[in-house]
Amino acid sequence: MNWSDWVFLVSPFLFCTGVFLVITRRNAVMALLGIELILNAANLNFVLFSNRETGIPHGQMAALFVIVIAAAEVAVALAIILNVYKRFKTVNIDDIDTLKN
Amino acid sequence: MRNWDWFTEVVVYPGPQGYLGIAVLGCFLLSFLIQGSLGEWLRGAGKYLSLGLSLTASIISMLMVVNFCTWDVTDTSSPPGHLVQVQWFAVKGLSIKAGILVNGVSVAMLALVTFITFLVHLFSLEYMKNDPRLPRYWALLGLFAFSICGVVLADNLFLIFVFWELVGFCSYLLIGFWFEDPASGPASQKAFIVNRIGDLGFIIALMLMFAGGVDFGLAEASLAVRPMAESTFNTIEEINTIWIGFFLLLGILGKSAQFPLQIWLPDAMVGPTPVSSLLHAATMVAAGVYLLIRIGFLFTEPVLDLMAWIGGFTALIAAISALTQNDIKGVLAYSTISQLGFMVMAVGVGSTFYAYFHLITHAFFKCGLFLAAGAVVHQLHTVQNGQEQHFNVKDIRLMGGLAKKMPFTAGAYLVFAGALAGLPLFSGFISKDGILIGAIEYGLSEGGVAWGPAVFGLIASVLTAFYITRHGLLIFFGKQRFPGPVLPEIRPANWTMRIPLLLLAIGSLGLIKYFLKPVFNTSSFQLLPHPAHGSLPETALMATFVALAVTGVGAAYWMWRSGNLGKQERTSEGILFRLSKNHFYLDQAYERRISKPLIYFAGLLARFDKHIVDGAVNRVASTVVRKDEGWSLSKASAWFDVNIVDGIVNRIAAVVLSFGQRVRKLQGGNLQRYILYALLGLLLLLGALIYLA
Repeated sequence: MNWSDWVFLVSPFLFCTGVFLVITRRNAVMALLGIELILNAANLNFVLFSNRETGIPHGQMAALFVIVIAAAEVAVALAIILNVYKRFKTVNIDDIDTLKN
Repeated sequence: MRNWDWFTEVVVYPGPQGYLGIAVLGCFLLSFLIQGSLGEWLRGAGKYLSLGLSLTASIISMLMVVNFCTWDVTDTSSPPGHLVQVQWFAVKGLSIKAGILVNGVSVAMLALVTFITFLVHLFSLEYMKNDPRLPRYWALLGLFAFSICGVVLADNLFLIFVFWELVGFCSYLLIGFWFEDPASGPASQKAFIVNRIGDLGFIIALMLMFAGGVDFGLAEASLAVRPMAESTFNTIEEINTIWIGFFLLLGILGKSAQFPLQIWLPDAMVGPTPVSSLLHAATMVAAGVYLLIRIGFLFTEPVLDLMAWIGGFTALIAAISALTQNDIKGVLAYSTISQLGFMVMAVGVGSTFYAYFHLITHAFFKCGLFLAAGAVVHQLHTVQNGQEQHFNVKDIRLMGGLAKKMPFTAGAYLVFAGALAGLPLFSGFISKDGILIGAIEYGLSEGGVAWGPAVFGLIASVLTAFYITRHGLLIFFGKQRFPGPVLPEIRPANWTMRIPLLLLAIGSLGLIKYFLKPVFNTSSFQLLPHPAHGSLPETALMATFVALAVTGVGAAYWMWRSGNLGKQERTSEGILFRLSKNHFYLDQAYERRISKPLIYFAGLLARFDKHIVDGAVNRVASTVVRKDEGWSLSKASAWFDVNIVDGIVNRIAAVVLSFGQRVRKLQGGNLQRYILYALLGLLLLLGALIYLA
């Protein structure tokens, strides 16, 4: 395993961190942040594997799409969070349980 | 052979007299009910109510006697007995009827009973006036009179038995009326228990009659048990008629205080004196002799022989016992037993009429004697209460000279005593002589040992004259022997006490024969001349009887003059004296031979019950349940229940609960957990895929 291979460990780390954030954080913004991290972990994998296996920048193209979609997603998500905050005066996702019961 | 006289057949026709009988019963029952329920509320008026009701009953029964006497003897259609009857109940085809049978025997007895009851009521006005429980007293007197009238009037043995028991029960209550007195409890119980023994005989007799298929009705029974061949109703075997007679006799011995069941009567004196006079004269003890006469047809030869012997023997030993008694009422109590013995003997020897006659005359003079004694005791008691002196007011050894202070009572007493002693011109002379002549005839006709009753009777009549003379002399004559200045304080009895004494004294004169004659001469009630009378030198016999009575009186007077009567202490007591004083140690004998073994046996049974029966139950119980440390079935069962039965259920419940709580968390509505589970699931799937590949 040469040194450039170590960079492959970054994306699992990012993914796990993202999942960890999504599962553990009570703050909706932090959960969103975790989702972003997961997306970016995926992006990183796209780029790394595309570069290493073929040299054809298909992965980079997919990453660009993901970035665009993530941007849209962040916009939507933040808007939701803002509205949630307006309605419930909190962004703690444990407190927002009006669908329960 | 005895002559069956008019008592042996009871012929009845329905008639209105029976309703008058019911009215008499109703008066006393009403008195009992009103006094029993409203007595406290009525207060002073109550006694006049009871008095009035008893007077009414007395008048009604007098009316019945008059009705009875005015029948035309020659008119054969004239009814000799009146009956009111209703069906009471039916069992196994035998219908028991309850009814009133008025005939010569019952109508005269009813008049006697109601009259004496009225006099006792009158006497009690003064005697009982300070008693705190007066309503109860009047109520009990009413019930007592009601039950004895029931015995007198009832037309069948079953109904008689019911009233008979009621008489016993009332006497139990009245003997124990002053229950503060420690002597009254045992005395009343003794009377009750001894009577129970007799009543057992009565019940057995009733059962035997029932087994023989005999209606308990007196009229029917008189036909069914006739030992004559002519009777077609002779359904009972001869041996059974003997047993029936024997057991009925046992019942009568208990009620009329005859040997060997006479021990209750002397103790019964602890009750109020008017009650004693009622008990001794007209109600309790008279019930037995009355029944004996009423159902005379049920007794056959062997039972009659036994009866004659028992009666004579009782008359003798009771007369001997009366000689040495010092209690003013004790002498009279033994005297009653003795006189009842004469009556039972008379029935036994076949002169039933004289038994009945003596029952009536005896009722008058014995009631009078008791009331006179009651007047003395009452006046002494009054003095004693005034003076704070304490001496036994019933001890005749302490009395004397009372005739000066209570001349009226003393005069009446002399009449009663003369009648009891059998002196000429008094009622007792006629009736007792009849009995003695009957006994002598019995001895003549049977011969040999059959002279026994006559000999007993003759000795007893001498002793009777002796003890009653002693009694009278010690109370009313001579110097006073009171411990203190009592005599000057004594006042004569007042009019409510004098009137009964006066009326009874008139009834104790020989004149009563002429009043009774019309009753005895009606068609059903003929006074048949005793057939054997002709063969006896009657005048000579009567002279002998008078001589015997005078001997008794004279002996007593001589002893009294020489100062041998009523000594406080006797230096030497002979065996005869002690036997007499203690009533032949009969009480002690019963105590030792019957009561003690019975109580010992009862103790054994109690111990058996406590240790074996209860013990077994307790052992079982302690095996099942135990409070202390120790093994028991219930503890094991409880442990099993708690740990096994409940345990399993609880364990299952706990498992389900914890599982449920765990599962609940899976669906907590927590989004992040869902994500985690999804992730874990994904990992599991991936792991599986990798492992399987």
